[in-house]
Amino acid sequence: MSDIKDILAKVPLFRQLPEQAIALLSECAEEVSFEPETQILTEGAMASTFYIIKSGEVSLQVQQPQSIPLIIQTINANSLLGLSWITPPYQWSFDAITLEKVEAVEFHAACVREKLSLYPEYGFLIMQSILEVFLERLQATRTRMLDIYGVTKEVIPGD
Amino acid sequence: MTSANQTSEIEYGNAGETEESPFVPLPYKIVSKHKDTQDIATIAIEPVEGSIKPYKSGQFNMLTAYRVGEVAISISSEPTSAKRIVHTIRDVGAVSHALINSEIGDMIGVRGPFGTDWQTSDPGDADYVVVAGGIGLAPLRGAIFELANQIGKKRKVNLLVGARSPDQIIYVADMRRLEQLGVKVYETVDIADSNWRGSVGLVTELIDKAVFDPSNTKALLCGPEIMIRFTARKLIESGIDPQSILVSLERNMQCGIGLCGHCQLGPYLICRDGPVFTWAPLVKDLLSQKER
Ligand SMILES: Cc1cc2nc3c(=O)[nH]c(=O)nc-3n(C[C@H](O)[C@H](O)[C@H](O)COP(=O)(O)OP(=O)(O)OC[C@H]3O[C@@H](n4cnc5c(N)ncnc54)[C@H](O)[C@@H]3O)c2cc1C
Ligand code: FES
Repeated sequence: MSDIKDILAKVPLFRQLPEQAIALLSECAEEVSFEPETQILTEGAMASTFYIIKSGEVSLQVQQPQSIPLIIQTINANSLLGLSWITPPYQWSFDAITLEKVEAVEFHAACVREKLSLYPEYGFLIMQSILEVFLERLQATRTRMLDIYGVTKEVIPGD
Repeated sequence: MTSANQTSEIEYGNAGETEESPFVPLPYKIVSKHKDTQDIATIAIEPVEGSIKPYKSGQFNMLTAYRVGEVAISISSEPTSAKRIVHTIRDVGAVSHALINSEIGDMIGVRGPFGTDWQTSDPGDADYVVVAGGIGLAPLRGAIFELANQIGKKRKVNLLVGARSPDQIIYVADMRRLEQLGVKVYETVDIADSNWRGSVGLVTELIDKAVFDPSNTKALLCGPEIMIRFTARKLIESGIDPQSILVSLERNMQCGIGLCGHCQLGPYLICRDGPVFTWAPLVKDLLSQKER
């Protein structure tokens, strides 16, 4: 198994982080893998872990009454899975289910939160990297709300 | 007739030349029709007397629905020597509605081909990233098959497709065919239920999945202009030269030959200088400006 620090240093999201920040994160991390169709996160459950996906794809889903779940987003390799661990009430908002075999780095949220507050100079840099994910997802969500591909015309006048 | 390059159930291609006036539509007969989505259909047409000049991928024709009007519609067939031409039309207004509701055997008028092309007839050794949003796949269809048929051992061709939902994706059968020819096809939608096996998210997110050598890659983009802007930015971030990014643009057209000024975008007439432009230096600043 390769050293967790080396793995984290190669993650594009952490490319700006100094070695010390990577070392702090690695103290709270371990490698994991999931078979296809595994539920990693469950809506309403305690957000005690989060993940960097190394390979494979995960879908974020929401259950709907009397119908099959809707997919909110899919998370690919090199992306962060799980954001609700950052602020109280530390509860997942969606289910996360693997679409294929997934290799990932799992972080223990309480451990990471402790490091962030104990070492604020690195904590700030780590939070800045994570904020990048928030911003990207917020902008992507806003763009998707625009329905840029155009609405389907329902009625042709005069038909 | 079946050409060596035939890649779809719908046969398509160039016809012999004509010396007709550019304002006079030539009669073509609808010979096949396929409903792609609730409001998009693909028709194949054949000349009845005289045919348009040879075309290149990315060019467009002006199609006339008799007694209704004329619209610019991209050519979606791969340039071959076959007589059929394929067009994919979305039902948005009077003319497109009339065209899409024509039946096999009905006649429509055709003027063309007009405009610039994707330059895919001789792609050299470059990798390709082709990004299409919604019906933006229609102007790219001929180019993708041209690339797929010249894929060789080294060239990587990636097709990234974005749509509102899985039922809005066009050319589904073609995409499986392109995969067999070696094209890497990635699809994403804005919204889907858990039966969907592709991605959910913006088409720009698919760029991370595509495999290409940024120092020798050409990108072809067509779709909503917001998508084009975001995608071009992300491609440039991933190292692709802005001058190697080609985009296809749409504006309302009337004459199709640079005379009426209807299709103006800044200093350009889309029908004459486009619809295919290089991203930089030509259009990158124009697309983010408010038009008057
Ligand atoms: C170079 C070029 C290539 C094109 N290629 C294709 C093609 O391959 N397939 C195709 O279906 N169309 C294509 N178009 C668009 C097409 O030319 C017409 O604009 C479209 O068919 C609408 O014409 P209409 O007369 O039916 O509707 P109009 O009466 O002109 O419009 C009716 C309503 O639809 C809106 N509308 C107009 N055009 C669009 C559009 N493209 N998308 C969403 N809403 C619209 C109008 O704002 C209006 O509200 C192309 C345009 C250009 C300039
Ligand atoms: S459509 Fe008339 S100038 Fe372009």
